[in-house]
Amino acid sequence: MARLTFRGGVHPPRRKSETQTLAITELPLPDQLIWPLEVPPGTRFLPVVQKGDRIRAGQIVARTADGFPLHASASGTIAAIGPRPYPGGPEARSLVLRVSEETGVPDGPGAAGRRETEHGHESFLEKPAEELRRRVLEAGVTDTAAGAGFPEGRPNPTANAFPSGPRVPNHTVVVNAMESEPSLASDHRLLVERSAEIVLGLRLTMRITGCRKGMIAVPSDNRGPLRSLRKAVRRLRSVSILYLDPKYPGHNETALLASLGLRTASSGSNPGGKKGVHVQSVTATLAVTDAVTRDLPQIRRVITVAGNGIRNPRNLSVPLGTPISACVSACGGYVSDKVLLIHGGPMAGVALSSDAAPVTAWTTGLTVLDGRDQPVLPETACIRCGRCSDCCPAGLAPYRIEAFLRSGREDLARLEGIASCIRCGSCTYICPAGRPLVRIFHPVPASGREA
Amino acid sequence: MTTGNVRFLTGHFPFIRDNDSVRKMMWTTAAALAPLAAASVWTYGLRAAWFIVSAVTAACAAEWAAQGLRRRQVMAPPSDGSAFLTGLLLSLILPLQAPPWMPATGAVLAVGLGKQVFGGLGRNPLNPALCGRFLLMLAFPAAFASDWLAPDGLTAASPLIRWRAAHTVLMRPESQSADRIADATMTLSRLIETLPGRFVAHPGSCPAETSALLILFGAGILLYRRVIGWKIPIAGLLSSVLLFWAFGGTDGAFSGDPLLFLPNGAFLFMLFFMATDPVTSPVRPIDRWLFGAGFGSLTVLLRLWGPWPEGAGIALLFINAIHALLSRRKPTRPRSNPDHSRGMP
Repeated sequence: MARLTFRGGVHPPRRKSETQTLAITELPLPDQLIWPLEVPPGTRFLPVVQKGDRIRAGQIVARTADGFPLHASASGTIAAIGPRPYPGGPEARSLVLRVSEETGVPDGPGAAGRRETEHGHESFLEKPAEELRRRVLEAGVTDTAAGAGFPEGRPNPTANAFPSGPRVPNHTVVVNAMESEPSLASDHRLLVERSAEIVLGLRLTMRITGCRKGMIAVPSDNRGPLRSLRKAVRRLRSVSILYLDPKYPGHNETALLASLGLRTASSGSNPGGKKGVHVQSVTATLAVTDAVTRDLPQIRRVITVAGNGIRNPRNLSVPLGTPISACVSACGGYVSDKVLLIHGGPMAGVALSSDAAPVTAWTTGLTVLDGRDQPVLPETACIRCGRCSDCCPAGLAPYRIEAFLRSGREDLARLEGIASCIRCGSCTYICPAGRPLVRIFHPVPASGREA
Repeated sequence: MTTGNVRFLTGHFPFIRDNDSVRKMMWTTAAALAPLAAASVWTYGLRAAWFIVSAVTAACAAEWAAQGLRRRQVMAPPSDGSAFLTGLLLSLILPLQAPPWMPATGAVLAVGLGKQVFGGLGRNPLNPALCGRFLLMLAFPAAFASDWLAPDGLTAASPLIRWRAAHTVLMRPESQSADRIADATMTLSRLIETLPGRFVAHPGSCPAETSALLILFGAGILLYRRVIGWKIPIAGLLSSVLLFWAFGGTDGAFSGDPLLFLPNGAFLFMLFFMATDPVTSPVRPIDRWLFGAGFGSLTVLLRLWGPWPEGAGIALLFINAIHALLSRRKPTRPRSNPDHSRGMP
């Protein structure tokens, strides 16, 4: 059988040999939590609490206009409602919580000391799909733009999570554990440590979306540690594990679907929905289990903090809203006074200009690179070697688009299909002339208070 | 250092890059040519050495001067390796009987008129070294009279010329004397018999033809290091072998022996080292197949029916030009494009 993969892609160094072996550890509660209300762009949560209110962990503190909830990830007092830095841009309106110490948090996804899913949990699969869907939505489960770090992610994830009326009836749920960004290993660790719950979450999602098949897509290069996952699916006829070529950007939904032989008509939001495939991140799958079996809202997530700029790389389970600086401290701090702090992975992450921004549901990890050895790349002439075209997962010709954009011909760039660009950065990674292709295609403003 | 004095660098993804560069590609190609160049010096002595040194020096000087004239940031001349490579390629495809001033002149023409007038690296429509060679050929046709300078200094016909002469005779046996026909048949069988030896050391009319083995060795390096792709060479080999097999024989269709075609002349050299030049070759897979096949078949056609025994150079220039004209064409069809797919389910 041919290897399951998509056309194009690149092979950046995986850098996972260390991070994949680090067990998930729980980050202690920080003094302060920040919950951005306008993240990702296009979403707008309206607070239902006021400054000075005392709140309990798990309580709903904000809702979108269509009722999607945001839960408190710890107990404390609302200290402020106002603009704060967030990982996707300079500032966003946020709720700021002063954490009070006496109240504990319910343990969310990734909490330590997790018990195996008991047989009793199978009974949840008998519940009507509508009830399950309601529970999941009430728990604020959002799909985290599967393995993202992609600067804009999905415009409105809440609209795509569990669409009630898909245009094509769903037939398959795919759990996206491809995690093709270098260093990042949180999905891998979750598959190792909490496989039974992930499989249950997948089966619950299948029930909710009316799918008969479930798949877990994992990279094929490190199968050994997934023994427990294999055991968990062994007796299930409807669920299978897919081992896909571990190349970048395999975690991208368009690339993932292409690996399964499905051409998507769009690289915009929810391309899978149009093919009857519901693609879901590992984090969201676990959140489904927690929401259904324990009425636990999505208030924590697991992130990898890695890179040569951090002293002790770790896989951390953090309450949503934790300032990035707290995660960095937990990892021993920076190795130098000049670092590149990246929200997401080094291939498609966003450089942050401060570590005051919080961890959100869309934070897959943090990559810290030592600023002292960031090479200054000379940009030389394009020699039309075509490597960018060869590796473009969307089948574009980046060198042509670049030439058009540089000469001000946006119309021609559109004809070349720039709208299909999935912003994976592969073309720029591979370019031997060091040309900043993807920056020319998508001049994303640097995040933070950049002058 | 957890808080306080940490400086956060800004930038745009991706934050890591592949460590290949244009410069490395150029120097790798030059290194892949080195065994062949060394063999040509060993075979032809100081003459070949002078060709190489003077052409490379002149090409680098011309590049440096042109960059200065165009007020581009002047780099140390051979830094990106492209001018060095142009000079080297040119010196290898010049006929050995050319006068000693010719390689340098050709190199200046190659870099100046072949590349810099179009805007420098990456913008030339034709292969600069080939441009240099053919500008020389137009200006000084006498030096390109197709005689072979044997290592011993005597003039003798190269295998390609002998094949062509024999082929011409055998194609019209009715108007030839029996002696000439016997001679021609003999020549062809001799060419086949001597092939194993000529494959290793195979003196031709220019240094590039010194050894097919070393050409393949260099090509192997380039393919292994992924400096060149395999589509153009494969397409070129297949198309030329098939076409020669079909039309290159003297006993009607499908009697041609590709061994009389492939190792002769500069075809292999140009296929691996010049047709694969990224600047003047296409990008899309289908275009690469067509480009290689076009080069291979045109070379066969020119060798069989063209005015000169060697057709590889002209064929490549021609295919370069066609590609340069056609590459402005239709936009790339993306694999997934919302604009193209309206109305799809």
